[in-house]
Amino acid sequence: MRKPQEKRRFPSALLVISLTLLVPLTLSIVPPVGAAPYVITIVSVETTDQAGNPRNVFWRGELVMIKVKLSCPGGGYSPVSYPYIQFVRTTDPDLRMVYLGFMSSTISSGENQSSTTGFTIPLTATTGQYKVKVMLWNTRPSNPQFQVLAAARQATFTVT
Amino acid sequence: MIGRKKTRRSVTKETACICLVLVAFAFALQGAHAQPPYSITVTTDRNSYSRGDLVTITGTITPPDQGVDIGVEVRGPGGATIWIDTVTTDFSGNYLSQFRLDLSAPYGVYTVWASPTGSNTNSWCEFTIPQAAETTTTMTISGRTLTIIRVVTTGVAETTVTESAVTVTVGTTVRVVTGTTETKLTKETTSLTLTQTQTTVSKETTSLTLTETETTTVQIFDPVRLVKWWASEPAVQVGVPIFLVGVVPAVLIFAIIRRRRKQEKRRMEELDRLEGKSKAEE
Repeated sequence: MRKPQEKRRFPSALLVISLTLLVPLTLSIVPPVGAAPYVITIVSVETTDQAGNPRNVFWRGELVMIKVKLSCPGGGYSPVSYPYIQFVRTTDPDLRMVYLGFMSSTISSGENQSSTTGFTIPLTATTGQYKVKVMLWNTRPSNPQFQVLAAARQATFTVT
Repeated sequence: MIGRKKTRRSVTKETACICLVLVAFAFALQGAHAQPPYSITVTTDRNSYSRGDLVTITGTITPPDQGVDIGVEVRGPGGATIWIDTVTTDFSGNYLSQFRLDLSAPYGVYTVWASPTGSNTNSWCEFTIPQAAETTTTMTISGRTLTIIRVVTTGVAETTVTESAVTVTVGTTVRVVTGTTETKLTKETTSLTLTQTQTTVSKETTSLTLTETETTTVQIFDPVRLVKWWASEPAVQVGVPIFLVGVVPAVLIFAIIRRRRKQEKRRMEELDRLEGKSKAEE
């Protein structure tokens, strides 16, 4: 009498397994409404000194290093590679661009990357709060195939 | 046993159906999220700017959608990227990006590109930094006279001189002719290429920011210049010597003759008076 009961449980088990697999699959495929489906995540943007110590206040004439950490979710048996252009833009308190750095690279799903770029604050620079914005694109907007690969991330530092 | 088999089969079918529905739901959601083919517009708040100006880039995506990433890139006359930005649309599908032009930004035509992410479309517009637009002038109005209180010129090309060589420097006080005012100083009139946003000037206006190219006649208000001009006038150059050589001596001679006549007359009267007195005594 026990065997048929166990056999009857099989379809229910199949349903549970299906739900267990499909729900995370559905959630991973479908991003929240209103958000863009980013393939890369900018984990952190921080300003450091030449020695790599985090710092938010700099003097004019000093070297500002900007450290960017990236992460590409996913992975598994067939990782996908994403070529990207990383832009690091710095603006002064008057919205004047004082530095624009860019690099082209490729990141694979499941991979973490880190890069550092830097610039010297001009001796004539305006004092105040500067903004660093990091953007990841697949190409430039003059190309219709343009795509934003990661949500832009900002950091600030002060020039005294 | 037959009944059990039937039940098991029906349950398996139900499970399979549910699984299919879930998969279909997943694909449906994925399809629902796929971005529609947006079209995009891009424009700047002005067609021409001066170095150091704030550039405001705006645009809209159609159909309107919130939270769509827009890539913005501005390239200078040489093709170099001078601004990039990632902005997000609001609920009306509008986006905005602002930056300030560098004080050493090259003159010429700048191209602004904007593209919504993953839409296979983009749009562009242009603006210029004309050399003539470099004259930044602040004007104040007093009655009917416009007075430029400060003229900043960054190069020779900004000042167009029509007659006499007049150099307008920072801090020079000049008067703009607004009709028949100050018409005597025509010799000193020069032309400044100014840029002006406001064509109608009212009494209430206290300052003007100049943006469009416009030739305005200005006059230098300088007493030294006035004397110099007066001395250089042909009428003055001929008239003054004639006046000094001809009229002045004549007037002097006339005055001397008149004075002598008066003295003679007085002397005669005195003699007559003395004669009358002596006669009376006799």
